[in-house]
Amino acid sequence: MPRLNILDGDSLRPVARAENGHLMGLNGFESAIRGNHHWIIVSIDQIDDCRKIEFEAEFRYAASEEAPNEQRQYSRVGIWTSVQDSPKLLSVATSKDNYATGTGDDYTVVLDSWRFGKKSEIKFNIENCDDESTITVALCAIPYFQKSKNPNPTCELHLAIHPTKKGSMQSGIPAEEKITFQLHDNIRSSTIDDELTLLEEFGAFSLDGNGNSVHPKQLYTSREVVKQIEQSDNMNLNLAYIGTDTTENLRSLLRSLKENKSIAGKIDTLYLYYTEGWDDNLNDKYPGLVIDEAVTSELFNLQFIKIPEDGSTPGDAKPVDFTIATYVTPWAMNDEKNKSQYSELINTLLNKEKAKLITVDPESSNKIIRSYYQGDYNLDRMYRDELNLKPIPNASRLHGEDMVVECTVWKKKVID
Amino acid sequence: MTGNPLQPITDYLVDLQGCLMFGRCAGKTTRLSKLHQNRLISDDHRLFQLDKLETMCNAIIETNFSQEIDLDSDLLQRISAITGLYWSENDVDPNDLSDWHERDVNPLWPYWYARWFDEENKQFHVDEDMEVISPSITEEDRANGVEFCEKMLANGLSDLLTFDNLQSIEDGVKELYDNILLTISHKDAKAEYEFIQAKQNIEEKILEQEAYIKERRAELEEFQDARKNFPGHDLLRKNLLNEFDREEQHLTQILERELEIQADLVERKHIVEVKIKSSMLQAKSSKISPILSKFITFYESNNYSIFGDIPTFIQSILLGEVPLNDVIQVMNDDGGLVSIIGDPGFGKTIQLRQFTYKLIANQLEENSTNIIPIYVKAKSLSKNIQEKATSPIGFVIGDSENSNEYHGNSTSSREESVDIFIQSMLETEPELDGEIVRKMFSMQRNVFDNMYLIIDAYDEILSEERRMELISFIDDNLDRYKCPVVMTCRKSHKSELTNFFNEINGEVNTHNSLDIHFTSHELRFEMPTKLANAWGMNSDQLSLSAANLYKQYETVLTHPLFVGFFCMLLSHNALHPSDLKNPYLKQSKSKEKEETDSTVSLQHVAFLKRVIEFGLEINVKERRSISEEEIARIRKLFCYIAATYITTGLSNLENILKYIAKYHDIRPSFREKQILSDNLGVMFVNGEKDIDWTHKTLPEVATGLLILEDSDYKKYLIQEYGSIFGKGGDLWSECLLMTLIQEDLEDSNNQPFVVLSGLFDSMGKKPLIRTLEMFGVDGAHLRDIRFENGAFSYKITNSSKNRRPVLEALAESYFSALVKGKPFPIPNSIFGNQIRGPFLMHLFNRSNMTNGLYSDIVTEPLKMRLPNVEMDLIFDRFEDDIEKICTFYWERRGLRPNAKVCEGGRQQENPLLERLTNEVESLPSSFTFAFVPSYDMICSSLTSIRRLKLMEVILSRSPPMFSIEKKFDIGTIDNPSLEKFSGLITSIRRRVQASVKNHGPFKNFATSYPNIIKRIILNCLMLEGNQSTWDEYILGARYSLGLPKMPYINLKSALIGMKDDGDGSNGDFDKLPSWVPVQAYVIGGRQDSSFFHKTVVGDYSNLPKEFSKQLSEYLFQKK
Repeated sequence: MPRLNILDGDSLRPVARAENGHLMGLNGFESAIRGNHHWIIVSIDQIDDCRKIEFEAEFRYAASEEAPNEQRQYSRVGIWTSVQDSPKLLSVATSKDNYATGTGDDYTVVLDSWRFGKKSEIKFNIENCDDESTITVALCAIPYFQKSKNPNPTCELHLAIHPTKKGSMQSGIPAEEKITFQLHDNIRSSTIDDELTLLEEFGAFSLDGNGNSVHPKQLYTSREVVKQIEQSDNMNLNLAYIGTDTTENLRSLLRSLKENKSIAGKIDTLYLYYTEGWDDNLNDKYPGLVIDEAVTSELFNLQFIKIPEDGSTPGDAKPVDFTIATYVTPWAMNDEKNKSQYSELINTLLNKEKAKLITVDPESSNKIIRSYYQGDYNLDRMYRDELNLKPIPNASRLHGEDMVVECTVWKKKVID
Repeated sequence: MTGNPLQPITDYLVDLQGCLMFGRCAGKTTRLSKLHQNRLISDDHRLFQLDKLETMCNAIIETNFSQEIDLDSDLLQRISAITGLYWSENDVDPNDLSDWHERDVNPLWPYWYARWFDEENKQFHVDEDMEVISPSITEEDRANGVEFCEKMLANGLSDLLTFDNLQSIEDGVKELYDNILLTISHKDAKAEYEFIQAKQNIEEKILEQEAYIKERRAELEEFQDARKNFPGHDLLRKNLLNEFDREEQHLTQILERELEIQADLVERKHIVEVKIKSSMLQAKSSKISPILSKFITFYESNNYSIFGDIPTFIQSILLGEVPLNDVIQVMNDDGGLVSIIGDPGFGKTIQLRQFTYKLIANQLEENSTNIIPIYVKAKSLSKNIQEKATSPIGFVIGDSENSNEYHGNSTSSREESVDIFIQSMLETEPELDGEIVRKMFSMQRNVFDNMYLIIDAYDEILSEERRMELISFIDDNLDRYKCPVVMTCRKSHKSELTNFFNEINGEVNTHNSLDIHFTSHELRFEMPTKLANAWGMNSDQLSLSAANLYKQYETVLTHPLFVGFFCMLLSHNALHPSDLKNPYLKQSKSKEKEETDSTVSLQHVAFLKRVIEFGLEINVKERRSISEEEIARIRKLFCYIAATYITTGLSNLENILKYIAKYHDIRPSFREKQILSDNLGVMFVNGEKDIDWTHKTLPEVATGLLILEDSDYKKYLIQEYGSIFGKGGDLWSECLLMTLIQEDLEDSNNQPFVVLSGLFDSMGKKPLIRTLEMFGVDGAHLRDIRFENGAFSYKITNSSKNRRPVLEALAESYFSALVKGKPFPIPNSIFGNQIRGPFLMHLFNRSNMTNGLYSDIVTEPLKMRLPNVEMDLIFDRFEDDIEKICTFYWERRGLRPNAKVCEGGRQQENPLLERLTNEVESLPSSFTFAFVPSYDMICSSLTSIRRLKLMEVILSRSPPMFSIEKKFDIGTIDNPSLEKFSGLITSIRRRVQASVKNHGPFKNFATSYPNIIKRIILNCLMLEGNQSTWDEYILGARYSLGLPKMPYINLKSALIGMKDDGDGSNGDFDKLPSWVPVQAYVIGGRQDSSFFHKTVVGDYSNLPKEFSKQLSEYLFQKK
């Protein structure tokens, strides 16, 4: 019988008030308080007699006619776990992509079952695990607290695993746990340092075959880029990657390209458009994890282009075949300068016949966990209305609804 | 370019899906797949499902009647709980103890008959004569069915429709099916074994026989060989030879007999083999009892399931929800039409785009190109059919008496169709790559065979004839390619679409009509969140604000379009700020019941104003590049259109624009006309240029804006209709008023009702009363009214905090207007008993005489008296017009026979009456009044001698009331007859509270007041013009004369019918005095028709039902 274990503390979790994201009521006063994001490390063991385990974490709150002011429903949670960057093909008939775990154990994660939101889910297919095998996941939760006279309101997160034994069609009795978040003053939240440690433990920063993806956005990005290059009839392709995050996304993409030699062989140069200080935190903590030209030297060129701080378009920017923009919205929408700079950059990069833009953004705002986006969480309007781009639905790799991220491929309607 | 021949289709699907991925909601780029998916519902689907549920349940229960099966008790109990609800106590006779009950009427029968009886061969049920019963479901059937369904749900079905209960039934039925199959296979094996054994026995015998035959044949051949060696011509042994012959013959006979036996065995083997085959073939049918067979057929034909997807099944019964794909799947082989129906703003286009998007997504995910959606706007398709189709067509629709002819064009070749489709597709989706579309059509000959024709907005086609042409085009495609056609249509055109399709298609193909459905929960809690995400923005705050504010705007947030505007305004922080303490945020409570539908809140009005401001601009800008000036002009035109729409009742845009041009001198340019005809988001113009609004109160708000912003228009309304609320004040609505005084309502604490105060004088009587009612102003509120130094002073009493500002505004406006000599009428009740003394005198002097004294002062001038002043002053005020004074006097008397007409009481009234009587008498004998005293006025004159005298002299000079009045002479009435009216006079006296003391012989009274008595008698005899006055006393007088209760339709029926029946209501011809005119008992008298042509036909609304019937029979006969 599988067990659900909370590894990093007890079930009552004090949470501090977040810097932003609180909700306003009709009278203009705060009516719900957004708590700081909070990590919970969970393990599932004794899984050897199971063929499938579904894990879910849920804030069970919903507004209704009877309770229109239930604002804890805006709480959200995401699951981070370590998986290999490329899908593991179980069989030709497998339509969903299964990704092997990054720990080396013989179980896989079904990518399209990985969900964030008020309810977060993930499904593991177990193959030949022994009694020592353990699944480890990290949950990142954002609780919302109802504003009331109580200075320490609470918000509950329900955890559950639904195991399915080998040879059985139905799932067995679920194992459940409950985490109660309580709003408190003067609670220290996890730092970027802590998060980098966690990500490093998951192998998120490796640049070779030992690295792992930890978030679905990485897998969707890699999957789409590989597919697009695969479909292209051209060789000597030029790619542009606009990187403004903690680099784990770029690293997983590089690993995927390096692993897939035939794809890498079609690439001439990957241009990395970066912002000042984009990887400072990581470099400070892990100086040995620097990305440089040597990383891909045997396969294709890696060229770094800095995005100027004055808001101008980089002088070296030139049209490429594929531009990859993953989770760039917070940076691009930060101010008018960034907005016009990004718009100009995309316009330049896409100014080529058959040039495509691959964007990966949160599917909806309740899939955003670690960051806070006050306004827009994607740039659909900029792409459609300002840049006059047209989406090209991906014919072969459509994913289901309510996914963690939305991956869209765009092309210019008219080339200048 | 790849070598895949299907690649052009895939390229097209990808390109079309790219076009459909985004749309615009409330002016913002919106990812349509993230928007709320409204459900589609169909009453027919719901009732088919309900009927099917009964059939399924019965099939399951009946298996219990077979010998082989014992139904699981839990399953039986669950099923019985459902089937029990198909019966109500009324359906079963409690004395009927038989096992089987037959219902007289089953509301679901039409649905039972409309289902295939034979699913495999698609055959309907047959009647006793083996004639096929064509499926036919009328609106009445549908309504009865829905009522029945709702009743079942209320009686407990909804409690049984839970996932767990249905899953238990599904599991139980699966077990039942397995049990039945097990039983059948067991029986089959036994039967087959017996046959196989018989066959094996025969085969053994055949083998034995073969061996025996072989031996016999060998014996014969051996004998024949031996004989060959024997000398044939040995005569000595001739006898021996004969013996040999006989022996050979014998052996041959033996062999032949054995061969016959062998043949017989083979035949028997064959028979057994046939039996085995037959038994195997029939095993699953003939050997199963019909009961089990029925269940198995049903279960297997339903995809080995009872409910299918259980949540879907539950929704199908609760709401009639049906996935569009399911509807299309059912019609797949033959094609058919699915219409998606919804009012403006319900999201029909988005529904269609979402459907097409998903359809393509599913195709691409499965690497399939089996379905090729052709997505077009009906308007564009129609235009291209008209331009490109070359084969003329014509239809006559309707019966011989009422038919319409329609002409148009149909395609004459595949090339024409291709051309029409390509052009329409590219016009509908300008981003679609024309090259990709053309390549698909040129490389794939089977596009038509695989197409789904998806058409948006049938109702937007320019004319009825063109719509008919489109339906004909659809029918052609159904006929040729058996394709599914999905089309959206506004509710207003639903019946036309259905009729056209049935007429042209001859009901060969299915037409399913589905309605768009959403709940207030979805409007409030789901749509805003999804919309924010579809816009790509953080949904948390928007979702919360929308949920919180929803209640304030509930009356106007009735469909997704306005929820979209609402969210857009919220996201721009452009919604009206709400002061929760403002009492007008709550919906007003109208006193009149019929107005409950139109109750609005301040937020409602404020929201619609914003919708007009933002929505119009967004929608116009979305389509065209346009300047701010042009936008402003479009907005003004829009307001004029709305105002003309509600003031004139015109609904056709062309006519409205003509009207505006003539009376307001505003002429839109061609471009402006085009913009106005487009979907403005707030106003829709359909094919016939008829206008439809996204909310019924929108034109009212737009009119309010125009009145506020355009002083010329306000003046026009007052000049044309006498009121800003149009003719008779009919335009008044809470919505319009609140639009006009929004500023007052929002700021009621600071500047109380400044705008309203300025509107009172231009409202008109009825709107003013309704405005006061809306604020709860009734009863007496003004007192101590004094006129000093050219101004009025007054006190306001009995008013709550909310009503006081309204009263202050009213009083301010009223007294100011009165001083200026331009008063307006307000309810008498506001003054209580304060209209007296100097104030009454003031009103008497200031009132305008045009529509009667006091009519410009109070709303009920007949309740006002003459002030206690010198007689001459009164006569002077009326400019010595005796008739006007008489009218003034008798109007009040007729209304209230016992109330004072003169403030000074009898002391003032008696001289007035005497003077009036003298004045009338002194008029020349040829002088005739225009004034015709009513029956009530005449009756009121019985209250005093002076009044009788005045009335008598007036009647002697007033025009006749009855057609036969001139010829009718009361002198011809015999005394006994005359005496019969004395009781009637007494009853009138009692009614008007006059003295009933003995007035002497009635004849004397009649002689003194012949004109009064004549009118009273004629009123009793004649129905003409005064039906409502007939009371029991009048009827009593009629019966006493032998007259019937009501006149007969002709003389013949009167003579037959007027026989004494005891209560006198039929009349008694024998008793009837000869002086009584025939018109008293025959409608129209001897020459029937003249009566109707002259008088009654104009108004017989007050006639008793019985008489109305006679009257209509009479009119029918005349016709």
